[in-house]
Amino acid sequence: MTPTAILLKRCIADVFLFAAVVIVPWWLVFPVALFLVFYFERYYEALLAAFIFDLLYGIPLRMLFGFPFLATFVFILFFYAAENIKPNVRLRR
Amino acid sequence: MRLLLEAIILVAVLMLLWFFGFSRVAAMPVSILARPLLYARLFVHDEAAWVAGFLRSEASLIAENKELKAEQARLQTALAGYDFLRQEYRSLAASFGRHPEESLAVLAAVLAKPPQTPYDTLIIDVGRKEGITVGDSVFAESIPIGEVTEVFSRSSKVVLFSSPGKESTVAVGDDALAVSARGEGGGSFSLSLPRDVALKEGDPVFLPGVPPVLFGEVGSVEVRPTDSFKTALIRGPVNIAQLRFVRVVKIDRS
Repeated sequence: MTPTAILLKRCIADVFLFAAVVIVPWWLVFPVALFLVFYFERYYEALLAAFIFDLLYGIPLRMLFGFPFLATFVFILFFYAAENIKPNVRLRR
Repeated sequence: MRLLLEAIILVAVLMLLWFFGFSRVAAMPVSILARPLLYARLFVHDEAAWVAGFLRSEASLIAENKELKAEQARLQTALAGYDFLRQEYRSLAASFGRHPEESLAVLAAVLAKPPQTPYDTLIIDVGRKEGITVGDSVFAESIPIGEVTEVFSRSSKVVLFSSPGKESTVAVGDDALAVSARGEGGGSFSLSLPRDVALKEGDPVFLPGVPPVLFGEVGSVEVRPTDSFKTALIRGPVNIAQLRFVRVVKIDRS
């Protein structure tokens, strides 16, 4: 696949992901974002989407001393775990 | 190594945003951009419900129609009794020098609610322009369900009392014992009280005040023989997932 085609795919995925953060229930958005992290290289947009999710719906969490960015923090962990796992896993391409 | 460093930097940036309160500044443009999408979602949801009506059988629609009419008749009767009791209460309160005031309320449409939102929060379509401020109470009809925690120019975020970990002081039992109700999510609460306090399924739970306001109803009571406390699970009277409109009542800051 050409870099342009990959970029186009990635842009389309970004649009859908950011719209999904606003429109779709959170328990559906996160698996989709996780899939995209594995599908694309260095999919930083997932971190941005999680941040937007926290800005829109997040509240200070008592169990975390008022920290409101739980989704972003969790996604940072997922992202970097995925980036470490991906070289060792045979994905389609 | 580079990945780890990136992760640490990102977490540090998050912490700084939280510590210096920049998250509220960043939330403003996000809420402005999200608002039309939320309205679009509501529109699609309503249209989909209308289309789904065509797929239902005539028999099921007739049966539901009959059921709803009977329910409406029952509720109208109950409402007539409620209006009478309300008038009686006002007269009684006035005779003791208490004059329940009509509070200033703003009607708001619910743009997002559970399960779309986590943590039992709502996004409503009124904000600073409509005079909403942090701390204003939110009601579904006459039932208090939460309070405003963040205000943007034309929308606000409401945290429901049932939000996990949120504590509210309520009154239970014949003696109106004050206890702390803890949000468990999904419109439910739990409270812990001494085992010898009389409480059973169906007992009302109130927010103390004049007049006391219905907070919920006891769903179940759990106690083990060795415990000195029992746990009551409370369900709120409002179905949060079906909320379409709420009233925002401004708190008196005078």
